[in-house]
Amino acid sequence: MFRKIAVAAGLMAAAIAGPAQAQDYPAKPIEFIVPWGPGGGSDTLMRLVAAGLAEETGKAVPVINMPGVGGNVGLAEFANRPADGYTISQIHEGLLISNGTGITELNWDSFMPIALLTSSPQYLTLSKNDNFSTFEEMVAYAKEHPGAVRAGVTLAGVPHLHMAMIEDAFGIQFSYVGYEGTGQRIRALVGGNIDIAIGDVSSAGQFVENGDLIFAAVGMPERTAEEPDVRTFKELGKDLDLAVTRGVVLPKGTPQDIADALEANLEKVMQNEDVRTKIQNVGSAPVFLGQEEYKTYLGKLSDTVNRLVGKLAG
Amino acid sequence: MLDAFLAGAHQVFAFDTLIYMLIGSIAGIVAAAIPGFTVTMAIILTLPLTFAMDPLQGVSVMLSVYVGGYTGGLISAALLGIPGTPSSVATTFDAFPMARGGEPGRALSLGVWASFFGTVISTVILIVAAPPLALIAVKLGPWEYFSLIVFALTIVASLVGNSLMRGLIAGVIGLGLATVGPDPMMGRPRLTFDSAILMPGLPFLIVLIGIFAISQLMGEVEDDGKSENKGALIPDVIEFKTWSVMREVLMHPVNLVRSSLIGVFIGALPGAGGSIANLLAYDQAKRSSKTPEEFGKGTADGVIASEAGNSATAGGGLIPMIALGIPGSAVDAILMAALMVHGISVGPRLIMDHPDLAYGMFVAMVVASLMMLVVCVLSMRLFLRVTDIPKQFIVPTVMICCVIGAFALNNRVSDLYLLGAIGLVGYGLKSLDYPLAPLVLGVILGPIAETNLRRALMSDGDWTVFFTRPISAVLLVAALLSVIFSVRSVLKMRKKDRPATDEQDGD
Amino acid sequence: MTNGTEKSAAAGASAPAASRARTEFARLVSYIVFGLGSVYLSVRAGELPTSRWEPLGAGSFPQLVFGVLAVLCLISAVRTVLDIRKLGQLDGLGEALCVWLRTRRISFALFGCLVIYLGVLPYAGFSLATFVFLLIAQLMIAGISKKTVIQSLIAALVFSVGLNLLFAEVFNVFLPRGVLFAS
Repeated sequence: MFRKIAVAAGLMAAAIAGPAQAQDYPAKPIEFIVPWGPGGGSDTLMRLVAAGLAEETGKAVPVINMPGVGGNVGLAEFANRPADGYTISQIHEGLLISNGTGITELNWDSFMPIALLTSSPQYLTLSKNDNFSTFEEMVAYAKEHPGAVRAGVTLAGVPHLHMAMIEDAFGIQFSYVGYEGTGQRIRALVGGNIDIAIGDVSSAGQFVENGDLIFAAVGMPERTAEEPDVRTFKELGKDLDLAVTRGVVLPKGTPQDIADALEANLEKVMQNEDVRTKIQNVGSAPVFLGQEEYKTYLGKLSDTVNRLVGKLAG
Repeated sequence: MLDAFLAGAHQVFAFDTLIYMLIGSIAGIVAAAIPGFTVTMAIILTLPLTFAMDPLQGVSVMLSVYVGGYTGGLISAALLGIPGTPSSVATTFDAFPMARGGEPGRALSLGVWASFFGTVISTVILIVAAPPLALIAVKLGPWEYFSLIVFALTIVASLVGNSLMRGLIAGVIGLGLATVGPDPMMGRPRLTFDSAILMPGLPFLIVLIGIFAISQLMGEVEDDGKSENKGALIPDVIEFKTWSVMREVLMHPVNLVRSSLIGVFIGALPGAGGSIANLLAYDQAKRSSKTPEEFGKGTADGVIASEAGNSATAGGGLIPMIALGIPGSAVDAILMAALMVHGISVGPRLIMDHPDLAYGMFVAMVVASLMMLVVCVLSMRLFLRVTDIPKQFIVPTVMICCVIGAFALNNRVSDLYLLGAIGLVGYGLKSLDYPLAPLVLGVILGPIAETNLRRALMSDGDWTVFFTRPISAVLLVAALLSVIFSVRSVLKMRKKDRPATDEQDGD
Repeated sequence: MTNGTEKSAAAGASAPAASRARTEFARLVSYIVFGLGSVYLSVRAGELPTSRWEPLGAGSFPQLVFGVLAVLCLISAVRTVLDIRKLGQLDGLGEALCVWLRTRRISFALFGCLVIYLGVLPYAGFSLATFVFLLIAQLMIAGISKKTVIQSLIAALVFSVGLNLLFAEVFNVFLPRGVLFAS
C-alpha cells in the first residue's frame, strides 16, 4: 500500500520540482561506494541493487569497494564527494554502533537516508553440545552458569549488539570470543569452538538442515518463510528485532528533487522480480522504506544502540 | 554419481562456456602477471557478468580466472623479479636468477608445468577427499591456527639469505608493520598517531608492492658507470622447450607431490592461502634437498616447489567451500556469492542437493588448468618478448601498474602515499642487504597469529590448552624441531664456509 | 636478493676491509634506528587501553613484537660495533656515501618523480599526471635524443590516456580523475 503512495509522492515531488536536474537524472553513471570488501553480505546485495539500478536507469552503476575500519573509510570518503546524486553509498547497523563506541564521528544523520532496501533476518544459532539444545535450555544454563556460554561475535559490531540485546532482555550473561564476519563465526560454531552465535540462513541454513547446528530463535516480528519452524523472540516473551538492514544514502546537501528521483528509481528496482528473487537467494528479504520511514526507522534504531552501547565498549 | 558427473561435464563442455572460460583464463593470467593487479580484482570484474549466466557456467568462468591467476604471477616473478601476486613471492627466489642467468624460457616453462601438475593434483585430492579434509579443517580452533603460524614463522630461517640476524629483524619488522591500523579484535585505531593515512592500516598488498616492486624497479636503474647495459633487462635468447621441460618437472616427483600437498592443506585452511603455501613449499623443498646451497641461485627444484605449492591452493581452497560452504579466501567468498545469487545455497548439502554442479566444478577445474597450460605455452613467446623491451619503458610502466593496482585495491588515495613510503624503506633495506621475504612473511602471518592468540585466550584463559590440544601440540613440536634444524644447519654452514668467505656477509 | 648484493658489492670498490667496515657502519645506523623506533613503539603500544572482553588487550601483541625487535637490534648493534673495531678502518665514510649515492642517482631521481607523481595524482587526475611522469621517467633513464623523445611520447600517451580509458570504459574502475577536470 505505502509503496503506491511513495511512488505517487515521488512522482509528484519530481513533477513539482520542475525543470531542474531531476528530470534528466541520472544523466551519467552513478558510482556506488560500498564501504565493505568484496564477497561479503553488503557487497553481494548492493551489487544486485546496483545491477537493478543500472537496468532501471539505463546508466552504468559501478560498485566501488572501499573497505576499512568497519566501513568508515569508505563513508568518510563518500561524505566528501559532491552532493549531486552521482555518488551513492550504503549503510547498515554497523555505522550506528561505530558512532556509539566512538570509532567514528559519522552517524546516520551525517547523510541523507534515501531508502531501506534489504533486511537480513538474524537467527540465534546454537552449536551441538551437551548442555542445551533449545532456547529455553540455553537461557536456563546461562542463568545457572553466568559467563559459561561462549558467544562468537564481532566485538563492538552488529552481532555483539544483538547478543547484548538478548543478554539484556533475558537477564543472562555470555562470555565473548571475537570473530570477523559471519562465515568465521559459523565455522567456529560447527567446529565446536564456541557455543552460540548469530547466524543467517545463507551461511548456516544448510548446517541446520543437516543437524549440525540449531536455529534457536529468529529476531523478526514474524516467523520467516525460509525457516517456518523457528520461533521468534516475540513468541519467546521478548520483542527483539535482530536484523541487518541495508539502505542507500546520499551525501548531505543533495538537492531534494535528486533524492526523490533516486528514491523513485530504487523503488522500481525493488519491484523488479529478478532482483527480488536474487536478494532472497542470498538469504535476505527485499523491502522498501522511503526517505521519511527510513529516517524514522534509523532514529528508533539509534535509541536502542545508545541504550546498549555501554555494554559493548571494551 | 556418474550421471551427475556426466551432467556437469556436459554443461562445462558447451561451446560458449568453453569460450568464456578461455577468455577468463587469459584475463586471470594477464591480471596476475601485472605486478599490483590481483586475481581478486579480476574475479570481481567477472562477477557481474556471471549474474547473467547459468550457475555452473558462471562458476566455471570464475574458476578459470582463478586457476589462471595462480599461474600468471609466475611471469613477472621470473622475468622482472617482482612477484605478480602475493602467491608468487618464493617464485622470485629461483625463477628470477634462472631467467637472469639466460634461461627465461626454461624458468617460465618449469613454472607453468609445475602449476599445471599442482592444480591437477589438488583437484584430484578435492574430488577424493574433500569432505573428510573439510571436517578436519573446521575442527581446528584458534589454538591450532596460532601454533600453525608459529610453525610457519620458523621458515624465516630458509629465507634469510646472508645473515640470520638481519633476516630475523626483517621478519619482526614485518610482524610490527602489520600491527599498525585498526586493532583486529575491537577495530580501534592503534599506533596510527591520529594520521588519516595510517588509520586503515598497512594493507598487505601495498607492503608487497612497495617492498618488492618499487625497490626492485629502483634497483634496475642503478648505474655504477661500469656496465653499459641500458637496454633490455635480459638480453637475447628466446628459447623454450616445452616438452623436455615437462619431462624435467616430472623428474622431480617427490618435490612436486610434496609441494602440491602443502598447497592443498594450506589452501584448505580458511584464512591461510596461496602466499603461505608458496613460501612453505619452497622452504620444505630447500630443507629436504641434498643441495640446499643451490636454492636462491636458480635451481629447478625451487621453481617447481613454489609454483606447484601456490597453484595447489586453488583446489585446496575449494575443499571447505564445496564440502561445507565455508569460504577460505575473498576469492572463494565471491565464488560462493555468485552461486547464491542463482539460488544455490552453498553448504554441507551442496554435493547432495546439486551433485551435477559440484562435479561440474571439478570438471571445470581440470578444464581450466588445461586452458591455462595451453594459453601459457602458446603465449610464452609473447611474454618472453617482455625481456626485449628496453628498461626505459619497462621500469616506469611497471611502476604505473603498481600504482594503479595499489589504488584499485581499496580505492583509497592514502594507500598511494603508503606505497611510496614503503617503497623507499624497501629500497633502503635491500641496499643494506636485509632479506625482504621474511618481512613480507611477517606481514602475512602477524595478524593471523595475533587474532588467533587473542581469540584462544578469550575462549579459554588457560595457556596450557596450546599444549593439550593434540594438533596444536604437534605443530608446536614441529616448530621447535624446525628451529633446531635451522640452527644446526646454520652452524654447519658457518663452520664449512668460515675460512673462505667471511661470516654472514654478502659484501 | 642476490642481485642486490652483487650490486652493492660492486659499489664499494677500494680496499675490501675498509669497504666492509663502511657497510657495517651503515648497517649499524639501521640497527640503531630500528632499535630506537621499536622501543618507542613498544612504549606507545603499552599505553593502549586494555579490554574487558579479553585477557590480552590491543597493546600486548605489538608490545611483544617491538620488544623482540629492540632486543634483536641491540644484539646486532653490539656485534657490529665489535666487528667494526676489529676491522678498524672506518675512514672515507663521506666519500663512500657520495659514491653510493652517485651510483643510485637515477634510482633516487626516479623515486623522487614517483613521490611527486603520487602527490599530484589526486589533483591532476590520472591521465595528465601519468603522462608527465612517464615522459620524464623514460627520458631520465634513456637520455634525451630525437628517437627517445618520440618513443617516450608515444609510450607515455598509450599508458596514461589509454590505460585510463581502458579502466573506465571496460572495467568501470575509476582512477583518480583529479579536481582540475572534475565535471
